[in-house]
Amino acid sequence: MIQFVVRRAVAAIPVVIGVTLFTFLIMHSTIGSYVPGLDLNPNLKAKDIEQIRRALGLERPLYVQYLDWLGVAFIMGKLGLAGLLGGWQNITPGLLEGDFGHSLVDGTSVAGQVFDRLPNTILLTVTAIVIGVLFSIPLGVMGALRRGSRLDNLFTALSVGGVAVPQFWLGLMLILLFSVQFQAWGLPFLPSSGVATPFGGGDLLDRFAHLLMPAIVLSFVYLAIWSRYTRSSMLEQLSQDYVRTARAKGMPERHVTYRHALRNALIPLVTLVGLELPGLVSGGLVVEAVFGWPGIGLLTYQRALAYDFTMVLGIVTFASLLVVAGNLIADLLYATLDPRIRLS
Amino acid sequence: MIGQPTAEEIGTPAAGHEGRADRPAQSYWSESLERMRQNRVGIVCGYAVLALVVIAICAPLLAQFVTHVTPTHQELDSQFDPPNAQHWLGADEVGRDTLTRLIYGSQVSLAVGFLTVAMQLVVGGGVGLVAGYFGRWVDEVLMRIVDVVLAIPAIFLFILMSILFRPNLLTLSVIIASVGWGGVARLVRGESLSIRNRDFMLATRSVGAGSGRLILRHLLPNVLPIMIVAATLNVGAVILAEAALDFLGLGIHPPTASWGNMLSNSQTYFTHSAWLVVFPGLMIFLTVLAANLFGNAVRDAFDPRLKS
Amino acid sequence: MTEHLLEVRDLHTQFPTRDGLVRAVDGVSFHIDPGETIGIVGESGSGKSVTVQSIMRLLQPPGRITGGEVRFRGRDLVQVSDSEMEEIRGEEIAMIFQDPMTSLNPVFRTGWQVGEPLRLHKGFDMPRSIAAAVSMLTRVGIPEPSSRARSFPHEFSGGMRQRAMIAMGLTTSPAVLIADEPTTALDVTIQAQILDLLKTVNREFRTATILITHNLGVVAGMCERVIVMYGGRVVEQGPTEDVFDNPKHPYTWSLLRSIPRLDAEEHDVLKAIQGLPPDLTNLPSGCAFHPRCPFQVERCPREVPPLVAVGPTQLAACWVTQSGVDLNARDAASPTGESHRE
Repeated sequence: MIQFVVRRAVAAIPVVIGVTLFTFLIMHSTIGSYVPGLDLNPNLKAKDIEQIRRALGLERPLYVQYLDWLGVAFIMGKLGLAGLLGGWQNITPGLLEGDFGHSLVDGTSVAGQVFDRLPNTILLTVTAIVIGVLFSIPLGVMGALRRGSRLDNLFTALSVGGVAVPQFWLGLMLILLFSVQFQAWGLPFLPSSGVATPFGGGDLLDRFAHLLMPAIVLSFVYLAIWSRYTRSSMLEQLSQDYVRTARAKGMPERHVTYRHALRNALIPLVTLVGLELPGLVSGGLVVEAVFGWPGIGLLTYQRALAYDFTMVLGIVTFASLLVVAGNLIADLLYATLDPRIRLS
Repeated sequence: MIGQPTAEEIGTPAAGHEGRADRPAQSYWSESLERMRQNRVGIVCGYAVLALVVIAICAPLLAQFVTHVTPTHQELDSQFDPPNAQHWLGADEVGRDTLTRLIYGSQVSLAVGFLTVAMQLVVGGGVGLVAGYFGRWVDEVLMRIVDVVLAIPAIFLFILMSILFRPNLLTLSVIIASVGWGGVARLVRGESLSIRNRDFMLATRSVGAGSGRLILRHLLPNVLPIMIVAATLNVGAVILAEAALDFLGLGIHPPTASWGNMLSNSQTYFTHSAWLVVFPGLMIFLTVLAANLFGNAVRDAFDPRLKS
Repeated sequence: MTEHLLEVRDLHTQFPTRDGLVRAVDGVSFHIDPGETIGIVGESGSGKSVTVQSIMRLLQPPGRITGGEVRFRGRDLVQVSDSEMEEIRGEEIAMIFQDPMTSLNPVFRTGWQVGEPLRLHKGFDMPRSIAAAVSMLTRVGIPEPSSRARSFPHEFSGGMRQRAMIAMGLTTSPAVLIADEPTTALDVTIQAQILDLLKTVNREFRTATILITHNLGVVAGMCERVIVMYGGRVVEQGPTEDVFDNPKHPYTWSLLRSIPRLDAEEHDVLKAIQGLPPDLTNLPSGCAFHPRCPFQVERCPREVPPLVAVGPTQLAACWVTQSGVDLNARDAASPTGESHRE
């Protein structure tokens, strides 16, 4: 088990290096040559541009800049190893110290912005995942137990449709129905954007009303995929020999289904859900944009429209590292649940 | 008595081997096509996608002879016209005909859809074949690169790239393909690894065939089914991603009509002109649905791993 | 007539398939008494497994029992309700399967699984059922049973898993143990150990054992009586010794000639049975074995031979032996010699 964990963690290291190198190189090429308007601004003389570049530390060799961005250079400085960096000044804390850079537009820190928005995003995605799990498993099991029935066919059609429906359109259609039309018909209606009603809103019910539509839209794809998966996984397990053994022991069919088969069927599903962990941050971007949900997705989107490269890159780095961590967690989850992996 | 069967043993396998080398290949394709033909839903969806391709290609003709307006033609007295005899699917805020714009929008969706998938196949297939064929450190390096590509959340990468490059049909395809190739590469690599060590590969190598020839003439035809399956399954997802980028204003920009930017545009007006948001979304939904169902049918018929 | 422990009468089981109706079991009858061990022998597709699955009512859909009775302790198992059947399964009739690798649930500890029948049928609580499982694991020869009970099935070797399966079958002291090819998936040395164990169990517990196998050697060492099946029917039945010494059906005769014997003379050649096992959707007319039968007479393709007494102890369904022909006597002028030239 420990060996397994260590092996997976070691395998993640090159990926972390790759991701940070990738974002660093993009950052370098953009700040170096494409700060918007920098080359075009007639008021800036060559000397001024040079000064800006120096302020950003761009005259240093590439590896120093990378180590600086990673935060390794900072640590080396603390350890008195700064000499190895060729005596370059201007070393600041980096990724390792939790500093993901600063906005090109307003100078705010990426980490600060991200952590401001993180709770909203996590609230939205976790709710969606919970809805997805709560509904997809019963639907999948029902489909498997009544394979080929009308109910099963209906679920199949719904899940095929669920994968094909564009989230942003589904969001708009729900807003059209539950916000616009319900209001027009004089029915209680749902708010169409934000996390809470500004000025006076914000109690639990109000927040729940705001959460409902985006969470449902986001859960739709999960539901479609996971219920399919549960169904086929369940069908596979029900045809296994050990199920026959369980029946031969005289176990009631209900027991066979829920105690023996479902337990095995859920193991791969857990990994599948685990693989959505990284999506905690990025998965809801489109939904956040449609519903004006002030999470990390909306932040990224707004900053992208404002060409705030450093902010977007910082967020991308953060999110990518989360993906790596999330995959690791998914592996561990799988390993804890499946005794065949846990002990080998 | 002892000599006789041995002679036969030497004779038969060799003769049988040659026959076997291309017979299963042929029967594989015809068998798969037969299975495909039996999947009624899949066939219908395939024709639906084909019909859409024809519509996209014939867009100028349809605009001239059927709807009688260009996609950018503005009629100020038709502003927010609901569906009627003149504008079958209504008109937008400057009186442009929705149907005409939808027809032209299909060009964007399909062009990006097919172009992207083609790029994914070429890059992902190439990387997968090379990694799978050479194995060892080549495989190790290439697969770590794939890990990196797949670790960056797709939508963030799309956004990052679209603010770096100003998107048109081609760059948008490159942007979307830059993520999707990783998945194809993993798939093809896995399949190549398993085929590489089969006897016929060793046999071909032993008669002195070079790596290039082995990869292209022997490995590629064997991983082709899996690539075809991956390609058809990806088209729907690519169309969805493209529409999402257009919708976010990070893809194809107006006045060029695309389903995604029509939706984005109609967001402002949909409280009073619901048709503006219903129809483009419906087009995306139906197209992706048809592409996915066709993809499923292709997978069921062609995926060699599904065969028992 | 005294009642047998378990008696199968004229059992019919069918599978509707796309290629036609498969009569997997077509009028099978036999019985077993306490403490007895009987063997059911046949090629794959002969209906031997489907027969016992029918007894246990564990048929895979779309398989269905379409006729006959399974009398067990005064009840007809074909007719009892599902919940009654659940109580009989595992408590009074236990079954072990061919592949011990896949027949245990991978996510539960072995002791938990072995003790489960006791919790289901005897109302044991968890600690008691586990304790009973441990003592049963001891009796089937699993070393360090209390620590092994806490292990998962994948930590066991194949032979150990089959021992655990047997332990699981025996926890409730069933009257009948059905073993469906229990050694096919195991190594030869392990096979012998498992068979020994089954024999011991049969003696100690007086459990009537039905052993399904395609291996005649297994039958010879284990069973008092043997039932030979072909194409869904019983073709020969009788005390093992008699059947082996003096087979009364050409199929049995061919089977016996196809196994290597240590006492065989040097020039004896092993004779494989000609032809292929029959296509179940399209069985040959008359006696299903006739296309492969070296003794075929004119009547064989036309009429199905009934299973009748041939000699003092044996039953056989064959027109040839019913007319008094001794198969062993024709050994020398073997008609199968023709197969050499093919």
